[in-house]
Amino acid sequence: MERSWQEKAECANPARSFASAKPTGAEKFCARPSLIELAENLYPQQVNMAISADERVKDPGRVPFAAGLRARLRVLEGTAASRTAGVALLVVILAFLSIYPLSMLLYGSLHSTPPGMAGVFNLDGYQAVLTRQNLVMLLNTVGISLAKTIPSLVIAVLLAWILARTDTPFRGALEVLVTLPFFIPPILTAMAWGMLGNPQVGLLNQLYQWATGSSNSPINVYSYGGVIWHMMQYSIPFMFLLIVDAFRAMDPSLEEAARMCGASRWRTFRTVTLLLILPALSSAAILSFIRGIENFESPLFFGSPAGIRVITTDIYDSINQRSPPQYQYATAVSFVIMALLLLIVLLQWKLLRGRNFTTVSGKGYSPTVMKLGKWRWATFAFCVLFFAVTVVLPVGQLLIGSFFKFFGFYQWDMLTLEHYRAVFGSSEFWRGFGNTMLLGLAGASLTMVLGGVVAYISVRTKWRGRMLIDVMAWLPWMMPGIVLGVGFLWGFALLPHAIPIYGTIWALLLAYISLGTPLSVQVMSSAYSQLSYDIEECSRVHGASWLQTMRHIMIALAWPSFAVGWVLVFFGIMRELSASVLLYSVGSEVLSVVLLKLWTNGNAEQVSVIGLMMIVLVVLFRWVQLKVIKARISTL
Amino acid sequence: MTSGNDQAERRWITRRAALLGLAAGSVVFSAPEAARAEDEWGKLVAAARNEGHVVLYSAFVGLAAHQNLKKDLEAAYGITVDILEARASEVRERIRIEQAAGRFAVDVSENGRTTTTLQIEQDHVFDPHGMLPSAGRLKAEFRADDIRVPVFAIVYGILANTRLVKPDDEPKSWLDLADPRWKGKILSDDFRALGGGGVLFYVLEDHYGRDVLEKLAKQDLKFSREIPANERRIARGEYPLYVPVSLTSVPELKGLPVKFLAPREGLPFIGYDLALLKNAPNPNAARLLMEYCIGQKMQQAYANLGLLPVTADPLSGVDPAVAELGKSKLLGTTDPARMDQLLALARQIYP
Repeated sequence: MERSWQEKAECANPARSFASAKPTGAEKFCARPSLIELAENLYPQQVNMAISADERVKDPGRVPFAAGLRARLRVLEGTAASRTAGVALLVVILAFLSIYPLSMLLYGSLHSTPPGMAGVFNLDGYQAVLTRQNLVMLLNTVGISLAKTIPSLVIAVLLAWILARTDTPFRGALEVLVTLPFFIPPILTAMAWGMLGNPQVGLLNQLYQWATGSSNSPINVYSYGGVIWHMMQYSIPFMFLLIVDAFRAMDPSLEEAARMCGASRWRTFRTVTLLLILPALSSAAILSFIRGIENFESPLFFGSPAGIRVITTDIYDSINQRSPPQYQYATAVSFVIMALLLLIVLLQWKLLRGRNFTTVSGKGYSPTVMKLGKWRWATFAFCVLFFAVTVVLPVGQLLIGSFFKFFGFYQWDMLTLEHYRAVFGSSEFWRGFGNTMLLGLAGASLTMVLGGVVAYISVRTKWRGRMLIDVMAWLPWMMPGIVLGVGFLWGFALLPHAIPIYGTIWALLLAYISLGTPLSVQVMSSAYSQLSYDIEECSRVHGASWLQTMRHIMIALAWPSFAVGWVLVFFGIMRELSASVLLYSVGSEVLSVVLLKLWTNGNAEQVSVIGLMMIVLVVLFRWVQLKVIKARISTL
Repeated sequence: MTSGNDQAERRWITRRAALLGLAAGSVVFSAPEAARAEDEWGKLVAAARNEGHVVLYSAFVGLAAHQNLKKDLEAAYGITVDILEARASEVRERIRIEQAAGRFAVDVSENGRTTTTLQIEQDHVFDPHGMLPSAGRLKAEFRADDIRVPVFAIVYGILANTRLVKPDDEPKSWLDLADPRWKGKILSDDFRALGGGGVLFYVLEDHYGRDVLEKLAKQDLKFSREIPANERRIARGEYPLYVPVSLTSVPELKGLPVKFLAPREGLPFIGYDLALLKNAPNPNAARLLMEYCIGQKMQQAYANLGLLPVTADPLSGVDPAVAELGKSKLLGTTDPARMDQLLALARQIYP
């Protein structure tokens, strides 16, 4: 039997429902000064309430008797027509951002020539994909990605637990430091690790030989191990960032209850903590696995010399290293990969469906940390070791290398500041930096807003079309960047000339939003999954509109994840190259293109300077982010 | 006898008179033509100044001479130059889709010969460039046609670490790379891809056949695509030899213990071409840019960077080491029509 909205309000928060209320009818549930306003609120409340897991509003809203704009807006918020319109608008936006460029690529995979050229439709591209050699290469790619995702996940979870749930000293600083590797351009860390781990003159091998007297070189970065190790430099901090706030937002009483019932720390961790953050864990693992399959720099740098072939280098070769470029083959391979990855994503949805991962409820709680006693120094040492190996070693190389004429040649007579002068005196650099900051700020903000809305509809509602929206938001993540860049180029160039996107900075902005939306949706989905519905219901019962609830309740509670997602998207934009190099126009150069120019021209040292600047930016952004998060959490 | 001699002398006089007459006639007739050509060119320059702007898409990412071009053209003619750089296939695809979509944003393309040939044959995106005054000064091996104008060439040699390779052991010939002493000690740009590695493979196959390349395959070459890093790896002593290295590295690596070796057979090269786009928004400025690029000042700028100039103009002020190496014999370049076939062969020999 459907409960009345009054009964629902009472269930949501009995104490507040009756606070300062006249004991007449519905008035007691709204502390409003006038009856007219009270009446205005009553009907929208009736329509807008019951957004719980069990009850969804299906009835059209009633038109309130007050004809003010506010009332009309409230009605619009709640009606099925408005929801359908909202979903339709979202579908149109996502279709333009993801389906449109992908449809260009689909055309390219089925047509013997790219769009705009005479040719025939055929399946030659797909036939070329389905060879034994390609199957072996695909298995190789999947194997490498799995081999790096699993240990990365273990280390990321451990780090997240240590820094979010224990009393390890200097957690704030360590949290910023352990995530630094993610933000360094991969070319730079590849250069650094190439110097550290090469079998001939690598520093690590030399240290080993000096320490042991052996002439062996146990470390060879140009191997499967080197490829996986380099990929882990990024996947560990990436997954850490996606998981740490799930740990932070968890109500510790659940773990306390397990401990009080006799479970050991390890059992509590395994059967309570890990399961509660399963959405965040699985999202992080899948995002990282997909990124591993699409990783390009690591296999290019460390795999090619060892004869290791993966799908992305094959795609890159087919476009950039063949005469003529093989777009049909490249797009066909990409769609085959996308189909496989989509299956994995659907599998994840199936695993998580129907399970409750609420860790943040309407009942107040105080986030506490677990006291480790003397073990906190062991966890501190672990974090410091991680930082030393993944940050100090490679970034130290960059820092030192930036002050010498040639990267890796440390002679006193080669000390110089010329690289810093060249970078800071370059108008092209500052233009690129300015454009990137503008696009990053706008792009990250818009992407997170879009992702927040998509995630809300997908996770918190049962509106029709939410699965479609979720799938559409995922799609760009599953297409290799090199190919997706071509899709954007074809898509935007072939738009009617009346739509002023191609050749402008808007083309870049839209491409960045498309590329960042899958990440923002996953980050916000994980955050929303943890929030109990009673908090939202309470807000609505007390007269807040949907927008007010979203702003003051949902976003406020999911703010730490929103901030993390924002930083990830922002720095993803800073590093994005594949679409940037095809869509930038004169005057809208971005930092990644400037880096490409410097690198291609042999200016590895100037690239190091820019890489170090990006690290400083990261530290600043993360410091601000953590300060804001701490301030927010302390007010909960 | 006398009559025979007289006849021969008369024939010689007649021939000489005819030749002199022809020469005089050509001077008389060509003078107005030269004046007409100069006049036409003057009108083009005036029209270019009016246009005031030109857009170049270049496949040579990070070429320092582009800054010279921008400054000089603006200073000399008041024409602003916008240059967009990307990799060869990216530039090609950008131009192709813009032309197909009717978005005529670019005036001049600067790309490698292989890609420019494909664009001419398959994409049909260029217009004839018309008369360029300096085209007559191009070297014999860099002739222009009515569509494209050669602008510079990249030449390739061998990079050796001077601490690991004694002068007596330096490879003097490309065939010396197959010497067993270098087995496992050669770092190489990928032979299976477009770029220096592909050029070297093509040229060696063209000159010496498949056998040499199969011998090289037994040398356990280490392929690596990251050229700037590769050069530094040789300097650090990871490997004694790197092939092929561009002459442009010589000025960049000054101070490091490395040496550019020019084998006696000559240096493989790849030329870059300029071409005028169809429906170019600034066609006159475009042609002026093309003419400027094959003029002495820009050719000097290219030479300073270690690129091979394409004109026979005498150049001064170039680094002596670079200038000397730049005089090396040229071994050959790729034929775009066969390039894909050779890349497939490379993938076969070096799986």
